Amino acid sequence: MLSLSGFREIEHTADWAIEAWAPDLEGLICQAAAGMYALMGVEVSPEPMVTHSVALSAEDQESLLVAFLTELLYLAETRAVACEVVELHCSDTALSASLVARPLDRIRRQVKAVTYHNLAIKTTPEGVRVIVVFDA
Amino acid sequence: MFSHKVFRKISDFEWEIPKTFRPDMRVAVRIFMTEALLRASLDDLSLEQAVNVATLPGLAGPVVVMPDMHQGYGFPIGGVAATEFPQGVISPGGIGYDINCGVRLLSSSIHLEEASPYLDDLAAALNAHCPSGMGKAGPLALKRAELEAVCRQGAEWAVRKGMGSIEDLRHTEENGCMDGADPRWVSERALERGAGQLGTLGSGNHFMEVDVVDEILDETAAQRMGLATGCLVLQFHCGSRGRGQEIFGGYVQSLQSAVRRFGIQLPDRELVCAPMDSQEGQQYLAAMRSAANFAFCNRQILAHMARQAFEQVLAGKVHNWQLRQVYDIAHNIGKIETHLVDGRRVKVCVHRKGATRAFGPGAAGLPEEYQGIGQPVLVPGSMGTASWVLVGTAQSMERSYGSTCHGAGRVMSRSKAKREVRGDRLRDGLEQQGIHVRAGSLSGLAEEAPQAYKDVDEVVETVAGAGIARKVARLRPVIVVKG
Repeated sequence: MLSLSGFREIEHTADWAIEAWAPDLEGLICQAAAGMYALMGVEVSPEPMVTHSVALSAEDQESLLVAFLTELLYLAETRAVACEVVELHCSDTALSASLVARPLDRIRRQVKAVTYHNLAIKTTPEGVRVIVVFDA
Repeated sequence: MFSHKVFRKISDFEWEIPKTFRPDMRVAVRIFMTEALLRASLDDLSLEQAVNVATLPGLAGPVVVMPDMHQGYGFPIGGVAATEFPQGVISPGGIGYDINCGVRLLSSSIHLEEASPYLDDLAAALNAHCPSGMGKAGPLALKRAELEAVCRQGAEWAVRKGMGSIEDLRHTEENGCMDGADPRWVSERALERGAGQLGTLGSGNHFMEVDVVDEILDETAAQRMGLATGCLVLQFHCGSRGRGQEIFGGYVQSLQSAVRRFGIQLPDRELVCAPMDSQEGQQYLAAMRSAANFAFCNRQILAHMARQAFEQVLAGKVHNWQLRQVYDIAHNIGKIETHLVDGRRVKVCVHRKGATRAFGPGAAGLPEEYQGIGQPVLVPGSMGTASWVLVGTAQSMERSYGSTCHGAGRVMSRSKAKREVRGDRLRDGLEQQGIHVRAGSLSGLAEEAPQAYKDVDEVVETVAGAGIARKVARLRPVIVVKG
């Protein structure tokens, strides 16, 4: 039986895609972030740890998800860090999160961007589910 | 979704999905493929994506797809859509994340035989001079004012700094600079992401190759381009790097609200768009052109560094190591052009998402030496296979908005390629074929294995058969550098 929260990579001809699922939206966003880092093959150093906070607003839940993942890609590329979510709250149009950022040791594969391609957060009997396609 | 009855056959190389196929289609989809390629294209969602594009407001004529088409996100890769200027829409998805991703080709009179003893050194020098791979910084650390100048001036910025010549600019699409670029509409983050990446190749399917001209099929055109059988050429494939990605991402998010405001119904949110005469459309056009100019400048700097590598390794060892620019083309771009549509001349924005401009003889904007032969079209193959040099034709102006194919086109996902191909074996196999390989990552090499792509020769035969390009020369790789 699948666990209540998780992610898996799915096939896409030109690019990369993951499916993520969780009991609620907050959990889904965290799973999508973990899935994206797994696709990138990130390896981090334990120290130094830096706390980082994020506040985002967007049109809807899907846009919030894209904005949050894009923020993590931006931090990876410009600050060379990967982030762990300590706390995350969101409504339909706003998200705030406390993150712990650790230095990136290695990225095996570049994810260039998060796309909106057929992006729809779906409600299921177990919670919520989404497929995210990345530009590789 | 697609039964064979859907497709109306126009010729052995051309098909159509009529606009009656789905109620939300505004125009037909014209497909340049053989029957075999058409059947194979049903294996992914690319045709459905082409039908989705056919729903965009303001399309002037059919959506066109090329034989190298494959599934993208929103638009299929290998798609061309022309929207009427200025009331039609501009859609960032029809241009892509890597704005002005393109190819540059330089010719030489270096014979393969005279260069053979030095090819491995040349591979190492190209790898050292031209940074590639994830997170590799370029040779320049530019301040904001200089970055904005790059956005406005394109390749000319580099030429002014001594990195190239006026002839390079004349042999670049748009002379290496799109008018109407305005870095005020480029976000701080996009400027920041581009700052360290000028003069870098990137990773993924970006590459630098030295090829030998294997076969010439149009002697006059080849001579005009400086291509001679048995001589080396240099080609590379890259774009606007993180800057274009950041601009695309930012505008795809901000245009989500514009779509609602203009009441545009879309089958896929990745197709977000805005009328070109709206504030949002104008701002995206200005930002997109800024990224395009950044990419032209990036390729100009890479050409300069590649020339330094050639000089370092080959000066004094071959009779003439110089590289002369054949052409530089953009294959992810939106351009305002005038085309004949249903017998009327219409000003349109041609969205080319993985498609190459292929202007025919006499077209405005071509340098004098190419006026008689048509615009050079550069079609790289998959790693280790042939690449092609073509020219645009009168037919491409009439049937495909002056556009043709851009490469081989993927058929296998990157993850499947990695499962089925071992990077070290692939590298060894290429070396056994006499190809000198420098790869930043073996897994990255495996993702780009030739078997992950269509047969480029079949793609080129199709566009030549359809008349939307003419064959000039076939190239064979001898050095491959990948990030």
